[in-house]
Amino acid sequence: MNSKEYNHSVDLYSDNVYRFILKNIRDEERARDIVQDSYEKLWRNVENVNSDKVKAYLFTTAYHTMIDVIRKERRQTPMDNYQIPEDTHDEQYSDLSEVLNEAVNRLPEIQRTVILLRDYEGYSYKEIGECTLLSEAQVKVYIYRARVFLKNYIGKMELVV
Amino acid sequence: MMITRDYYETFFLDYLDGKLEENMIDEFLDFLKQNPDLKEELHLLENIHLPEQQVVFSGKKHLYKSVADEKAVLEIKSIALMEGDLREDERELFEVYLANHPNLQKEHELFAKTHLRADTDIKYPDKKKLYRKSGTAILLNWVVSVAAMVLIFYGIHSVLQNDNHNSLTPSIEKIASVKQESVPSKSKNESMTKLGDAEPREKLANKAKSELPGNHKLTRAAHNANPAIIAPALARDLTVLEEINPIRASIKVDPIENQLAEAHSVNMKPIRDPRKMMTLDEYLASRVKEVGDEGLLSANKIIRIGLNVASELSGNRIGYRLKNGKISSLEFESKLLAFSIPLEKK
Repeated sequence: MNSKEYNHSVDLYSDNVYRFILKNIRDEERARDIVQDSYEKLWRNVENVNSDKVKAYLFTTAYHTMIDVIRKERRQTPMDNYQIPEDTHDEQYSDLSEVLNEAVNRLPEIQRTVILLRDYEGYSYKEIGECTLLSEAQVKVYIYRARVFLKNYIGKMELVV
Repeated sequence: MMITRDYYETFFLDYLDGKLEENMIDEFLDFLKQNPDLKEELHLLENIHLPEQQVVFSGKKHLYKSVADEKAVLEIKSIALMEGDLREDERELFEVYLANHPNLQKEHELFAKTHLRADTDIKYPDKKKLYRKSGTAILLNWVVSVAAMVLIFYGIHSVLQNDNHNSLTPSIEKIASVKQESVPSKSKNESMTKLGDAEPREKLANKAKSELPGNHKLTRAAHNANPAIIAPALARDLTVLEEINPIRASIKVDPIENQLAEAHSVNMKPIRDPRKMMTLDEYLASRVKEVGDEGLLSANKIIRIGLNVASELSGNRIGYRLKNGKISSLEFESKLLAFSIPLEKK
């Protein structure tokens, strides 16, 4: 991979990586830092990364950097009750995408990651597994659980509305 | 097929199961007569029977399905359909299943709604920071930056020098105007105007020397008018100062201004014809014209500036020869080595 291909990868994937990280951590500044960090790492290894694999490389690097950031934060501020209880639906939503957004925010971290990679990037189970260091079976299980959670959340919202 | 000692087991089992073909029975009995040991083996097989046992599966109730199970199936199948994990035949079966269970249709539709769509309005804002330049581009940028810095430095230096030259003319004119005020005669006016125009420092000094001793009022008036200008001008010839009125001697003259006046007078030397001097505007216009003739960032110019910089930094002579405005050869000369590289294509 050369600098031209690297710059092309900035055009192609920086928005996607940023979106993926932002959706996961909901912090614009940190998401920007993580994207920048990921591209720094890519540039350092630009000679060794094949241009066909650059997207996977970026998402994998960004994901692991994000995990490091989250772990570091948790060490600093322990969050025992990380997940918000399911039955607190006080918000008012105007459309399905808002409901879905809220539901995605309530997903456990790993489920959110796999379903974002699946739906946003159209990754296969195998690709998600490679990115997150999970087996295909684990990926399937997390996606299944995430879908059930989202479906139940939407269902409850429809009942409330 | 013939019954042989190597191939008789199948016939034995068929005989025991009553499935031996009729036309084979005679042959089979003859075979037994000829092989009494195998006849005995057949009798042993006849007596082997497994006793019948009453085994009941106790977990049957777990195998029964309820509506909840239907829902679970629906979840699995709906998600599998969404993810594209169902084969064509499985998909068709599931659609039939859904058609037969309308109560599950809404649940299935809810699953379909869980597909997330990326918000394409979210863009990475600092893309420019991520772009990288190749080594050649970095080198070119560096060369351009250095060339630009050298050009700016040279420009500022030239402008300052020009400004310095220009600043001499008003000084002379001021001196002349002061003299005009105090000596209003026509001939003196003319001579001072000439001085103000073009006369060199020596002539100016001689004129001042000849006029100052005999005109004390002039000196006093001049000091009253503008001592900062007149004092340095007068201080150029201290012997003259000693000969004038004692009032003049009592005036304290700032030595720094003396130096400045001296410096100005030295700078005046090469300026023989101030009419040929350019104003700042004219100078800048001429520079723009020069630059325009060759182009601000032409390759030749960058190379020449780069060579000059390299020559300055290394302390060796790195020169070039121009032919038709283009660099025809490069020359390097140091204490140990000297060579020339022709650049022209033959």
